[in-house]
Amino acid sequence: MKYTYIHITQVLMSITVFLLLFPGCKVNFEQFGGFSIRYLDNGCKEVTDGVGRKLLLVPSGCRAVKGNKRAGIVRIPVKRVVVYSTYNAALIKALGHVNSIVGVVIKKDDWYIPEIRNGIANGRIVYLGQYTSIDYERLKRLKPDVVFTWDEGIVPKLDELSIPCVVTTTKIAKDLNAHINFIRFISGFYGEEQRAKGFAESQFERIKKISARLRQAKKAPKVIWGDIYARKVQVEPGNSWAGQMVEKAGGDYLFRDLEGASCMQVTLEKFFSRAKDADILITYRGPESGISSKERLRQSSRLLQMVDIRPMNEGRIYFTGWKLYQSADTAGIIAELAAILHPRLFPEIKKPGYFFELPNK
Amino acid sequence: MNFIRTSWRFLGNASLSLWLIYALFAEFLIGSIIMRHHPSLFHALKDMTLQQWVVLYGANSLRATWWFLGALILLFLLALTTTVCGTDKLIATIGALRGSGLWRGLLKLSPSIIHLGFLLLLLGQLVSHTVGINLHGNILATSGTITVPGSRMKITLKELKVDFFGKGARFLGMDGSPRDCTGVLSIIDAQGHHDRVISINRPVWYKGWSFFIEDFYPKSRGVTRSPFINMVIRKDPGIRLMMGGAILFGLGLIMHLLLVTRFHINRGHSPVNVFITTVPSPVSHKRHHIRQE
Repeated sequence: MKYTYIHITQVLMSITVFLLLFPGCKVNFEQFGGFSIRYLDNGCKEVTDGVGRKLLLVPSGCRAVKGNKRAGIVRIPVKRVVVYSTYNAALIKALGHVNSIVGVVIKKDDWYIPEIRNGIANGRIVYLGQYTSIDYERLKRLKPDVVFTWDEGIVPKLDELSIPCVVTTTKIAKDLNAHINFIRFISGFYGEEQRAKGFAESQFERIKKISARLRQAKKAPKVIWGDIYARKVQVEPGNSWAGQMVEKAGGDYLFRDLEGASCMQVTLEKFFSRAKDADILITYRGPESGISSKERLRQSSRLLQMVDIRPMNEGRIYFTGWKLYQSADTAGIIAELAAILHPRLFPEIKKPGYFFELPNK
Repeated sequence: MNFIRTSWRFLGNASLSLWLIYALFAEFLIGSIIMRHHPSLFHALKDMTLQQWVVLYGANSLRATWWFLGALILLFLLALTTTVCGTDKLIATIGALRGSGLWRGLLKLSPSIIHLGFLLLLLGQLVSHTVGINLHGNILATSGTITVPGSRMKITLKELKVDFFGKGARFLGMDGSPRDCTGVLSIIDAQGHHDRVISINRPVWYKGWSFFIEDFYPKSRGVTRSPFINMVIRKDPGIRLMMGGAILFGLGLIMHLLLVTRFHINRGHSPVNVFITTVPSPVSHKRHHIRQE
């Protein structure tokens, strides 16, 4: 067996040498959830968007690589952008480039970012219409460098118009890590990578501090996050940033084991078997969606008229305002949630900014 | 020459194969836990070739990918040991075939067939992941056209129809939800136009390329805007090897079953030997053969 021993040693040594040399092969590449940026020569970058499309970011003045269609090339740093997602707009604001936004698909009154409200009011920012009926003529006249969209359905039309676009959503829900780090993906278009990295790190640092305070918590309230409609229910899965925020805020998220797309439909049995014992229900359906009280919520859903769940009675229901999606301050959102779940540990947070309790009547 | 012989004997060692399989089990066990914490890292594997993934993701996130890279090395070693064991076994079997009769002879070859099937499966996977093409994000609206990257083929979506569950659907809460999405793809190449029906459970296969609907729109009844599909376009040259491997593997297993049940050959060997495919050396095989007689 002596020869065996020698060869096993040789094999192990070869593997070790390979693994030691291996990191030398790596390229300059960053990945944030389903999104990635690969840094190429001459300041060019190759980005992969949420549906796996690849775009080439080319510094202004540099010649683009042959073979790429026009809609696949973005000149950077971008100076004129159209945004669909309010969260993307908040991230662009955090990067200090809110003035680069020239078009949106959300009405003025629904914005909480003052620069965008004012921009729409004074005509600097154009409201392009609802996503189902975009005014492509106006969009073309805006000559955006890129369109950040969650609606993959506009890709063929924008390809036709030679306007580059980036799909900012993924099939699988973004987790908390990807949600916060998404600013680093956006920063690639502005050449603000360092600023974005600093911003994301400060967010994680603040979340760590919240977690440290939560160590004193004795009990984790049971939380569900989802919407109950007339005949169906949707919940945030455990892999979503919303579900993970609950955990970070010291809650026991009852759909922790669920994986999938953001706000996914679940069977009624699964929902009600877990929701019946929940302490808190967080829902997107609030006064902005016509639900101003628990009573109204019950009236809007045949399911809630038939099955009782704890949050409808002695438990609490919170609705999220649209502001939740217009803030890059995820750590601030978690802090507020932590204050709801553990008010004694966070006495300084009193005024709600993102979560509002739904009254009984 | 001595080195080759020593290496051959080392790789033909049955216990090495077993240890490799144990190590692979351990790696996959650890990997299944790590993967849960880094799903997006491994989701990327479906979009790119193995070598691209290794350079971009594997090397950049070694803390999460070390087990996978280790598993690749172990699989490579397992393929080597299987080749050596298989060859040894084949030589021994051919030597012992004389006077066995056709059926018994064929049945004796079954472990070698299992070896070959396993190797083809591994080779097919390797080919698929290293030279295969997997293109995501091909969004096509009705009457839209795209060119399949790396080819002269053009694809046009001629029609698209989304069916929805009606009122009183058998599944509670599914009213107005999509039931199926069916379209007609027109493939245009040097040979002309070819219309093919595509739907969620009916991909289109054409000259080595395959087209799958990954997503579609609208997702609910009553939405007024142009419908579209998001297609995955694949070219998988390893699929034939994998199919061949799977068939051979299954055939070998069935033949071996016959060998054991009908002809009572190989009785007394542990089941592990049957499946791990290790009859290590001609010497041990001869001893076994004598015992049978």
